[in-house]
Amino acid sequence: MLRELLLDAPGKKVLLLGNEAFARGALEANVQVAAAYPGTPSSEIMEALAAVAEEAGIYAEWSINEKVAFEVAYAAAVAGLRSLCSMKHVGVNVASDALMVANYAGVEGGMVIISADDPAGHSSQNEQDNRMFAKFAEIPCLEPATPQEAKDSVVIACELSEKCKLPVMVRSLTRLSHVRGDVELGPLPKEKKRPNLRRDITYTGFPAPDHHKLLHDRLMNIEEDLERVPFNKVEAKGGEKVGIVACGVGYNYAKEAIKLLKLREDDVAILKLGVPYPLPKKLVSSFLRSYDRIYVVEDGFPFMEEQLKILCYDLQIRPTILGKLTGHLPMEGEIDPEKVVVGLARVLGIDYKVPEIKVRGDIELPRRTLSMCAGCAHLATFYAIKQAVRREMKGDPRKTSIVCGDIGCYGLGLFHPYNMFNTHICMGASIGCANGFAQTGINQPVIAYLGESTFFHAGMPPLLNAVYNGANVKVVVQDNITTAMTGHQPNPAVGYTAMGKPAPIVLVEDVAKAFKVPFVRVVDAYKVDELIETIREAIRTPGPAMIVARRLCAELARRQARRKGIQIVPPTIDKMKCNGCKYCITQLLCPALIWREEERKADIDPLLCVGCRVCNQICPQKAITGGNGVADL
Amino acid sequence: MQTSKRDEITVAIAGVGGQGTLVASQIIGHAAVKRGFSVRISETFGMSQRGGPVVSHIRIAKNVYSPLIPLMTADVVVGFEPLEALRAALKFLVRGGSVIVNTRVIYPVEVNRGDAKYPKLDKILEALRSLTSDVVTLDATSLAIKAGNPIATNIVMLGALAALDKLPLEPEDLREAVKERVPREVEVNLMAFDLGFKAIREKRQ
Ligand code: SF4
Ligand code: SF4
Repeated sequence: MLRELLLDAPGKKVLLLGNEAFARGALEANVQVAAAYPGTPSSEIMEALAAVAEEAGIYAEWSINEKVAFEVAYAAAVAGLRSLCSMKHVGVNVASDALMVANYAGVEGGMVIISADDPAGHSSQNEQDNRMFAKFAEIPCLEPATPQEAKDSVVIACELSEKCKLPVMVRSLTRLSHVRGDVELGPLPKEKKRPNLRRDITYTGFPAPDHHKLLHDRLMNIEEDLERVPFNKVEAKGGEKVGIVACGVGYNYAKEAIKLLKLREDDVAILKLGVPYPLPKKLVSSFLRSYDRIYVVEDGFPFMEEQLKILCYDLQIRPTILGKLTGHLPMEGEIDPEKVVVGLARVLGIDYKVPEIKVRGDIELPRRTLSMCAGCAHLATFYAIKQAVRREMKGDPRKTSIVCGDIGCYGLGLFHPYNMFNTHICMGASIGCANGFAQTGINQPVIAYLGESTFFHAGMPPLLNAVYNGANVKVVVQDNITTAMTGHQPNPAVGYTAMGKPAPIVLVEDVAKAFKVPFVRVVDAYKVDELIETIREAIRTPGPAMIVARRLCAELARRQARRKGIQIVPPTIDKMKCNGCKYCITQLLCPALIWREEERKADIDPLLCVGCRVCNQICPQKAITGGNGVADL
Repeated sequence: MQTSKRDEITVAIAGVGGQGTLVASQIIGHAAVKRGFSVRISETFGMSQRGGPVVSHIRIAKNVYSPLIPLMTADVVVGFEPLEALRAALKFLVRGGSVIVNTRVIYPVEVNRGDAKYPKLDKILEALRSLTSDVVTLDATSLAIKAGNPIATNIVMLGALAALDKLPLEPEDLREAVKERVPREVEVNLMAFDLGFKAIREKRQ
């Protein structure tokens, strides 16, 4: 991948992930400053850029959160350089405070915001459609359909941005960010620009009405350019029964649907739209005028569908517009080939049934829900919290405590069989919500649970809030020394930057101490009893408390053990002592702990176990002993 | 035994998170792009990185559109784990297509907890055979251990897929792609590839 990103071979085709294609596009566009906070499905954009940044002579960083990432990129664009910030859809919420004025203030160099939306919430807590944000901020939005277009979109967005002096959004989707496809490389720029900040202009939104007007004028200036964006394309001969308006990735499903229904080319026309906001009005109007029935294929909100209806009102035409609002595509979830083909068949009045999936015989397929990794320190910490509450409050921890969750791998703790959390909203909301619960006068320990990357991102202000306002919250930070969920990006606890340069290590506990949190303890998350006792003590001590349960992410630990030559040897379960109580399996939930039905005893899968020796400590029969591995790091 | 090399193929690779389905599909995709094909590869999986079912959607043609495989249109399902092979085959395999299954079981947490039962292996194979007569099995994990690293199970399966002779690629294209895409432990991986290849070639002769 690294090789391909820097390959100076215009015309050559390579296999790239959508996100890598965005990164390559940034290089081709001569983006010189790039910043991001990791978040699925956006993370690989900055990962790829950071990996080649030094060689490419550009700057790339993992910022502390999306707002900072936006501001870093914004300032670079104000200084006349081309810049990029990328984030997942909910990340734009964090950046929006800056975005909603940066649009008024404008830019000099091209600035691109890549928003990676996640319909279906594959790895997200909601399905928000950030084309709405582009419209909200009144900035142009491009929506590429393929990895090839992903690459090209960054170049086009930079050019548009420079022309209208507004930041430009590129909307990606999980199904683009995470698709690999063939991409034809373009030329790489030969020269870098030098920053040049004009001191005679102050970039601001003041006075607001004037700047708001300026924003509108700037948008008007590029109306013609938006019509000519190459991602817009009409495939029609004229006279077709139905016109499909397909936005971004939806275009691919529309083409597939036509194939699946075995339609002839002249049965349907397609307007492929790559600019969802502002609409290329001329192009769209002439398409709308040509068809009585329009089927709108888009992922997310009925964003195009509504705009088309408004446009028809202005044009004084009344074609039938079918899509999400009419039930021809679902309003929730991600669209896929089946949903689009079913909708199209209905639009055309064709009888079509989705193939039915049946299992023959008496076989039942057990579900396989996701689990945390074997040896993951979150598992040990979850266990310790439950035990601490159980012992301290003498009852079911679900009934005697409130645990506020946060965003990270440990989000899985929400679900069966972990059932850890009462709330789970957004980055930093564990401590934020805990503040509120604590102030209700509730008579139960209020525990906030989060990881160190989330703490740095949005956990610091609510922690200080707890100290200042005297909220009785117990904050458990499971510090696994990486941003694990999104693929192990470094953060201030790790000691190096996105570009691999050494950085000062900032410890969570030092921040807590500086914030004057009265109770701060650090415990090895694999030392289960010590962790339980520390949490109990925190519960007994009134006032804000922080417990840092530290252990490297098991995935990284496995790799580190391998590098250090530490052999992983699973602990042994003494089959004489094991009474088959299943405590280890049901309470710790390490996926390496498996059940041997024939013997009715627990066992350990040697290929999954990483040798953390946590199970050894919790077996009531002391049947689990020995073992080697990540515990010894 | 049919060998039908075509210029268009859809393959679903099914497994459990952490089994290396993604690397295997990347290798195929890389080789296909080098041969001038249009390629789409998507992964569908859950929220975290490991432990859940993963399906890699691989589509190779002159022009590919949907990044996801439409239901029951995959020419081949490659199952890295028996239960997941069946789950994916039910959903994606074109009836009468080909299935390759690694016989090594990975229990879901549900099964370990006692909330569900894992079906007997021969039941799973029987169900697969009700979808197609072309089901081949191998113990890929053992072959990978033999090659030097259990992690190379995915490369064993890749060798097995090459031996099916259904991809519009030569086995040598894939071997090359293995070298280029997984530069670490090249010898282990090539050995793994060859072991998988042989296992299937012998069965299909
Ligand atoms: S030592 Fe026990 S808890 Fe740790 S990974 Fe192995 S089986 Fe799981
Ligand atoms: S907790 Fe101990 S006794 Fe109970 S099943 Fe596990 S190993 Fe056996």
